[in-house]
Amino acid sequence: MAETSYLLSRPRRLYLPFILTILAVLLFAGYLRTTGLAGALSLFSAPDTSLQSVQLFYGALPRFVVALAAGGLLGLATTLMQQGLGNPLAEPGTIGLLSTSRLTVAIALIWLPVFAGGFVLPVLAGSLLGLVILLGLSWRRKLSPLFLILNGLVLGLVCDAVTSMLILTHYEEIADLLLWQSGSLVQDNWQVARLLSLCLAAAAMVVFLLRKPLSLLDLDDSSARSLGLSPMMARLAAIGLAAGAAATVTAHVGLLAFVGLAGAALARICGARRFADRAIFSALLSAALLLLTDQTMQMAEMVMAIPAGTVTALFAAPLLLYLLHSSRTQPRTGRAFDLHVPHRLVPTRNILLGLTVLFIIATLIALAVGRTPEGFTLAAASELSQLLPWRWPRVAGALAAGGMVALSGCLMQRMTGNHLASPELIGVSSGATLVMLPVIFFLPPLSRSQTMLIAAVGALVFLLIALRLARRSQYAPEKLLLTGLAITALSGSFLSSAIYFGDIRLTRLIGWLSGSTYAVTEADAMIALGLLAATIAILPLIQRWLGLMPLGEPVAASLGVEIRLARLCIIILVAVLTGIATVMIGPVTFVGLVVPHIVRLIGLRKPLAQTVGCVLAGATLMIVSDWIGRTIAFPWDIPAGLVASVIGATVYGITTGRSAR
Amino acid sequence: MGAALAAPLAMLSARWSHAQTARSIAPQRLVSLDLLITELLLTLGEVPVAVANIPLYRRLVASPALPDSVEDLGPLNEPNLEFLQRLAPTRVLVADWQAPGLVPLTRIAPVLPIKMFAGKTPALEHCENLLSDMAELTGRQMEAKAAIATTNAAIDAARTLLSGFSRPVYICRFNRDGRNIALFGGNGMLGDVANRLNLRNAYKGRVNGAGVTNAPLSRLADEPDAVIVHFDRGAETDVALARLEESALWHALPAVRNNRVIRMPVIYPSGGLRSAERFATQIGTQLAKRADG
Repeated sequence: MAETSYLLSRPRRLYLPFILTILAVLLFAGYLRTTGLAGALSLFSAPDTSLQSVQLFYGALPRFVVALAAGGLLGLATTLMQQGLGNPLAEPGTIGLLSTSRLTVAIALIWLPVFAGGFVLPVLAGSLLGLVILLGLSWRRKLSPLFLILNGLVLGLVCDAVTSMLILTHYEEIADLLLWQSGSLVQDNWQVARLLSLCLAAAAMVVFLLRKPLSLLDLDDSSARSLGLSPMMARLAAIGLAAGAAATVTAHVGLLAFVGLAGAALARICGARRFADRAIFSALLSAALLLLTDQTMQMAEMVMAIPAGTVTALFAAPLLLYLLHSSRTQPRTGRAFDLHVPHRLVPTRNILLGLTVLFIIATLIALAVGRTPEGFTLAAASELSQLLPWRWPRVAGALAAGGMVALSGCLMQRMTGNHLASPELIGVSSGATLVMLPVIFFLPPLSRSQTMLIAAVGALVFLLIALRLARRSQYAPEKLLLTGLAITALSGSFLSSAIYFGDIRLTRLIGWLSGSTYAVTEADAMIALGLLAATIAILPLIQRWLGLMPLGEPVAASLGVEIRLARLCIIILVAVLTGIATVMIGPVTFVGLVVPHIVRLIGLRKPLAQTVGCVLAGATLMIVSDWIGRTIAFPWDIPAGLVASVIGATVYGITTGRSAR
Repeated sequence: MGAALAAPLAMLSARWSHAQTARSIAPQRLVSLDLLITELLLTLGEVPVAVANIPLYRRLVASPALPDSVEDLGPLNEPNLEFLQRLAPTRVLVADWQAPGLVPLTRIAPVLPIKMFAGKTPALEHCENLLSDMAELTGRQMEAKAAIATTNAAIDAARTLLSGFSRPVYICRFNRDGRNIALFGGNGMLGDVANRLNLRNAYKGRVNGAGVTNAPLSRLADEPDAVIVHFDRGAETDVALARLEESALWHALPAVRNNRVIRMPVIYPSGGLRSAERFATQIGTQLAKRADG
């Protein structure tokens, strides 16, 4: 079935890159006419030094070439990376390399301005460092594709969190970063165009020479080995080449997230199956997409300059969602994802008891210990009455939100039977954020309970979209994550345009998005705590569903689960939990993904024990993060969400490293 | 001439208001969470107990200088609450856009949100209104009047200097990449000072709330007769200029060919009256040198 629909649609869709390119060329011609630059074209043989001629030959033309070359390189890099990792989601952005580069650029701008000259050194250093960390973390798993993607996501989230903090604290110094990350293709000479074109030619050559071994990566590892290929070496070569190509583009024109991913996904959907086809098509499609985006923006420049990078996702995300929805293809899910959790002998009750003790200790420390200019102080009983009104709403807010996010991650993983599903990764938190952005910008200030309601509705809408799109493929990880990435990229794109156009007022928004519990009031804390308590009370009622649903819908249905009812209940629960937690601590992109994993790793596997364990661990993690954020950089207050990301990643790295042995 | 007239007035008023403050107002313990508010308070001679983000103030605004006695509360949007409580302020002045995130502060002291982004009102007029409001609050009406007079005198003096100057002016900052710039204009502080100096701002497009916009370098080609005034942010500007040296477009700009590019010390673009005064004097003397060009 799927095969025939592919064949039928093939001839029509192969025209896609050409149609896009022709559109872009028409736009370019229109631009030249309206600006009067077309007049300078007649002097093609001898560009003179008149302003118009310079604008055409050193501005518009190199910009055109840069868009094509950068898009082509990104498309090629993405295909290589996907081939190397055996995963249709891989992109320099999704495995965290763009985020590490962004972080190194921010660090260079603030502390080592000498090296920040052209961003080339920091970007290369960042990509290399990211790659080393990523491969180091994934080495024990023999670079298992999904494991590597997960590590990449974790790495990216941590780096993004730290970068947000740097933007928050150094807003005025980091204007260059804000501009660079918006991905402007504006040119004033041929250097970048020449460099990127040469790189594209070189990369294409290498891919052509290596096409045989790279194609063999389509097979599983043992068959590839029997054909005389070292899969590890071929993968390393593919990933290394891809990272190099992407870093070159990033260093010279800024962050162009999603271009390569969109191109590669479109190529697949257009019917390119073999590696060579996919490489050619995704390069062409990415180049055409980027060109079209940039030319549209160039037309708009007379009104307002908008860099291409901020809008690539605006173009690409809806297209991707549409194609995902309309195509009936079944993505390959050959390689299952499993963390190989060892069976522990420690009884469940002891583990839960341990978590509870940790939770209580963390709460007590967070309430009693603070920091003044003189240092850390343990509040005396008399002072507590003065300090508690400050501390308890924050502690309670962190507690409730951490528990909620961890719980909704756990519920989603159980419902879809997919260990990568979590509110952050499938776009539910980002969806809530997407709804919140216009609310913050355009509506008069709302009370927090009103915002909670709006965010919960936003979370529900995007959860329904994500699940609807992924349902046909039995919640295949690729589909779920692709939907999530599209929504995340969309909200990221809105945010970076807002930052690009906005002023210092945006620091408040960034602060909220970083997961700050600063402004949580007593009423907010009470509402959140009440909801968390109510949810915990429901858990025993749905534990049977939670136990059976990971086995897949047919199995669960045959065992007497009312699938529709169960799904509806869990969806509503997840949406409410995520929406409210998002308002309290921002779309913390970490707790919901990592805590359920950690809880499983320490040996809690039964539904009820796992969910309760997630609440306890998530709450503890957020309380500790909040306390550290409050004290570590006194008098500066570091958002709890940022701290949580760093702690969560470290714990995650240690546990996965240990359990792999 | 205006400056000469204003100087004795300022001295006079300083003596006046001391007497008045001593009589009517008990000493206040003010806290400011915004750079512009801090600048305006110091302009009035009112030293706050604590402000947020001292390093940022010292780097961006610098003058009037912030005394060492002032405590640092940390981030602008999230000042340290427990520390603030110990300082026992009598009033906390915040920007209106910060206020919704600062509800907990109201338990320490009354929070006064101040409208920072004027919208349609020109920035200088808005600053003068803000200064007068703060003068009411601190009982320093005389200082406020003196400060406004000094600024106006400086602007008048600069305008007189520039009476023979007819070229349009780009006010900008070069980005490190040498391909993009930040342009100032509209009703923002820098744009408004330029208007009051009767300078023609060569950039007439949209700007954000702070009176600035990002644009590609080619925007500077729109007005061939213009003079380019750009701010010196030290190493960053050196890198930018080195890159521009290699740019064909840069060298094709009429202003560059005819040496009409002026580098001047950086001014905080959302600053108050003191910043405006410095900018007016700076741009007046620099441009007057080229009035013939």
